[in-house]
Amino acid sequence: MSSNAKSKMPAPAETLDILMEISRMLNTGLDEETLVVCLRLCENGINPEALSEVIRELRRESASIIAIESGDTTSANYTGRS
Amino acid sequence: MNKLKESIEQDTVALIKKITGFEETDVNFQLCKSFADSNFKYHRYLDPDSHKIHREIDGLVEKFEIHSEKQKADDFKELTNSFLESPGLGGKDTGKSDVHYAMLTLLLKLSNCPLQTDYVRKKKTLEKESLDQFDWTRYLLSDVDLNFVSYASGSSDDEEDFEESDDESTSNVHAPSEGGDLSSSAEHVRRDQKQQPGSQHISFDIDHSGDAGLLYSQIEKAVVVQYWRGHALEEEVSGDHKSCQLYKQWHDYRAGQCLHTPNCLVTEQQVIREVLWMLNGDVQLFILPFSGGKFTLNSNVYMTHLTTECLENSLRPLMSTAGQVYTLRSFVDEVHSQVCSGLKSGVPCSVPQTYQAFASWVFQFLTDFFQELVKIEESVIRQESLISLLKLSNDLKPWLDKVQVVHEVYVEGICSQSSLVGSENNCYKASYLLDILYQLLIESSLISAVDTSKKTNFVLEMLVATSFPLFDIISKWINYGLLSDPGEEFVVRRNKEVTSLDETFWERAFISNQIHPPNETSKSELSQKAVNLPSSSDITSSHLNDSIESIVSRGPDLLKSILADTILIGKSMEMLENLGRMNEVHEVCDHLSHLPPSLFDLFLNDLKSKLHISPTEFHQQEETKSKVQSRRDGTKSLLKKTGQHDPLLDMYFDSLFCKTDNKGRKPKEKHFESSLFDFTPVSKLLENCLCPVIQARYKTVCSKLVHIFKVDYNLMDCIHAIQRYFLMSSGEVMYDFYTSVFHKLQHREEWREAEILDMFLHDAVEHRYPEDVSRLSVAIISTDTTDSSPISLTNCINLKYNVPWPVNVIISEKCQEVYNNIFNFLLQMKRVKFSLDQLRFEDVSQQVVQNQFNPDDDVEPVSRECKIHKCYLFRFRLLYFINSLHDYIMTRILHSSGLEFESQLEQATDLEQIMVIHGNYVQVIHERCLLHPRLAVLRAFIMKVLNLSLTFCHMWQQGVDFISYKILTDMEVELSRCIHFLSSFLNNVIKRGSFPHLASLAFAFSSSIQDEKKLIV
Repeated sequence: MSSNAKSKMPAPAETLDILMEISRMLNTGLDEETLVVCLRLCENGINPEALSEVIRELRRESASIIAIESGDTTSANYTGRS
Repeated sequence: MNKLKESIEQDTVALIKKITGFEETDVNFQLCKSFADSNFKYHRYLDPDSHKIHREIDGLVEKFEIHSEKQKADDFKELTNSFLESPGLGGKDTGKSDVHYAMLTLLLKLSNCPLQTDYVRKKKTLEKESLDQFDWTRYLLSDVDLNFVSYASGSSDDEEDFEESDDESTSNVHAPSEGGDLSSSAEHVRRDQKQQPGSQHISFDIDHSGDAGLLYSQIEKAVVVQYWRGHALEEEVSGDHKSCQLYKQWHDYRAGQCLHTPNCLVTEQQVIREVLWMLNGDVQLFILPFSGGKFTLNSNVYMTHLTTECLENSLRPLMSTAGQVYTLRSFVDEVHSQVCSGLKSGVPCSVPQTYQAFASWVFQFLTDFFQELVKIEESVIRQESLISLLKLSNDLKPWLDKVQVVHEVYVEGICSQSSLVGSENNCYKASYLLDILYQLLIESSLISAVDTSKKTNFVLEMLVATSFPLFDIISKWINYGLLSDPGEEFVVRRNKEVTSLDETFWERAFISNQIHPPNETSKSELSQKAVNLPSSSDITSSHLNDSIESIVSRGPDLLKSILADTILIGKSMEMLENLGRMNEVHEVCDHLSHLPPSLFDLFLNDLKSKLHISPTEFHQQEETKSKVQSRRDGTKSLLKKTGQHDPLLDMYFDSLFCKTDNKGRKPKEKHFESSLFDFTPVSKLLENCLCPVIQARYKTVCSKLVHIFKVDYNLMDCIHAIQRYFLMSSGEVMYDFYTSVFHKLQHREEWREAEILDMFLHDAVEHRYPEDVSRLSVAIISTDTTDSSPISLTNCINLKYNVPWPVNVIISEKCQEVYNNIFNFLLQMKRVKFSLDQLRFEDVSQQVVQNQFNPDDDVEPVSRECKIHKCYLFRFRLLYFINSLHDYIMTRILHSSGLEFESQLEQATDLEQIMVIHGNYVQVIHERCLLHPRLAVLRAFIMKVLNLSLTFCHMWQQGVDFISYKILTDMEVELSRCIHFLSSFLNNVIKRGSFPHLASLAFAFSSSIQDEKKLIV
């Protein structure tokens, strides 16, 4: 119970600020909210490489959808990999 | 576990939403979700390796260094180290946990060309409590008027940078506050006032401590010397010139003599500004303190270029005017406060509306004046032109004159009135104020030809504005029949005691609001004398007129020309309303416009059009110019001819005529031109503007009412009915009535019962005028018991004709009383005539039984035949007398007066006139039937003859044997005396030419006397 209580503790704001600086330096394109979501996922045991893969794919596909919609409104739905 | 799953689930959803922007309902969202879940669960990646990550970090740092990004490299190294050291991730208190490495792995994987990114590290610094750098001093002083700084010092060039933002017209305290201090508060101000009880000025203390003190010492140098706090401007008189030495010596001498020397040096600019504030009505001044209701010059103040006396002389008119402005402001404030308190409490305000209108106009005038003062002060502040006290006085001269006029009106019209009798009466107050204005207008118009100040126009504007409430009251009354006068300041008011359907409505419905002037009555209370109320039963036209005339004579002079008609229209309007016919007079108004135009607007437009000369009249003007020129020459030559050469008169005529020639003819919207004042008396002009409006309304309303009375309510039919029965103009009808009564009288039967008389009357009337039967009735009234003469027997008969409303307003009960008096007199005359006519010759000559009559008792000197003959003669003399009188009354008086009356009625234009004409008619016939108390002597003789006739008739019926010769002779002598007296009396009256209608009666009596003489001879 105590570990659970500790895990629920939010990360210190200072740490988040440092993390955000690193993110900006590496040009990851993550904003503060997304970073917090990612941090929570990592804390919950999600593999960071898998997570990065998901983020990259989602970005790519959503960009393509937006491009298709702006060029041709009749384009098909997204068919991502499973 | 479930909670962990849920948390992951929620975070996954949040991540997808954040990155893709899809909604949960979207098909693509579900695909993304399943994709992410699949990747999270079924990936083939290894857990993060700390060594590997450190290597990657080091590699990246090296890469930055290689690309000359030393700063970035250092920052990156520092940040990663800081991150790895920072605790608190993953619920652990230590650094370098799995989560730390996982996050670094994630970021490294997601990194995208970090070398090409322009990155500037945010310096995370603890923000210190910043010092307040804001310039509060400048901010707080930005609204303070600092423009006066130059006036005393005259050295600062910065003064033009300051903007004058002080609104002088609204400020009450004009202390030249050069130093608004930071700590200045209400307490400061209070303390300052407490320290200087003598001076009401408010200024601000200067805190000389610290930086603020330094700042204020700088400001102090740049602003005016606080002369109002006794800080005198240093007078620098130096030099070798003799005058300087003289000044010093004089100054030292005065100081040595311990004489009072003013010690506060002020400049002219300061004086001018204080003068402007003073004129604005402000009382808290230093140079010109206000005490005892007037402004004075502070004796401690002096100027370098003017002596105190000279300064005081030049300021005196301004100070006087300022006192007047202060008085007027106080008056306006007082009226406003009373009105406001009245509105709040719901109680009608005791201030007459006329005062309110005057106060409103004064307020507007003062506002204009203050605006002018603000303009002057702005120019003083700008210092672009030279303004001295003299120039200020000259510039303000027209305004000072106007203020004086307004103050004069206020003092005479309002202040002085409060000490007079009836000062509580609003009607008197309003009339008094308007009369003062009107008199002032007439006086100013008389000198308008030589007056350049346009006082006439100014006073006219004042009068017109002040008279608005009364005009409004009149307008509502004559247009809507509504006398709305909450302040009771109009000359009449509605008498609530008299209902609309009362027959005395016309006389008593509207009573005077006025009070009697002290010379007319000593009573100070309000005279509630009814308008038109006749005294006692005396219906006289003069009374009717007197009441209206007295009201008009005590009304405002301005409205005198229209008051009488206004009262008539107002009464007629209410009468029309009662008759339900008011819409007919409204329709006339609505014909041209939906609302009847206000009397005030019509008056104003007419006045403006009469005072302005329109372009079409320009040619007429040119013609009049030449006429004026010829008139001027003619006047001059006439004066020379008569030898009355007076240079002053010449100058007057020159200015009078020249002024007319050179008049500007530009019509103005608001102000009046006085072009016509030169030749047209202003009273006539106002009358010409007012009367046509009222006259038009009078024609509409009063004519309508008269028409309704005559046509719809059969006024003439009622009058004819009255004439028919009371004046016996319908001979055959009344003959039936009175012969029935006389027969009863003759046979000594009972007749003194109202039912019997009613029956006789109805029997007589119903054949000819069946409609009148229901209206006619007879009553028996108690008569004077002391009068036992046989002729007064019928005086108890009282006719009554039920006159329907509203005609009974004209033919009232009182009128019927008078008609009844005439009726009784006619009845007496008819009775005598009837009795004499009924005598039969055989009655007088009948033989009496011997035992009933003893001739030895009284030996007659003449034979029986002779006595009979004498009786015949006497009877015919009496008949002649009574027939003459009867003809005179019935034809010369009643008939001809009736014809006159009807012709006058045809021409009557209002109900008042009808009432007056009817009253006159009743009075005339009453008087000519010898019923007036003045003619009591004449009447007594006629009554004597009538009684004599009745006695003789009685004797006749008994027979000649019962008539003693002596009695017969005495009766003849009595008759002759009466006829002699009447004849000589009437002839004397005729000789005076007073009553020409009596000529026929006098002739009849005279001829009777001549016949008598012939008989004697």
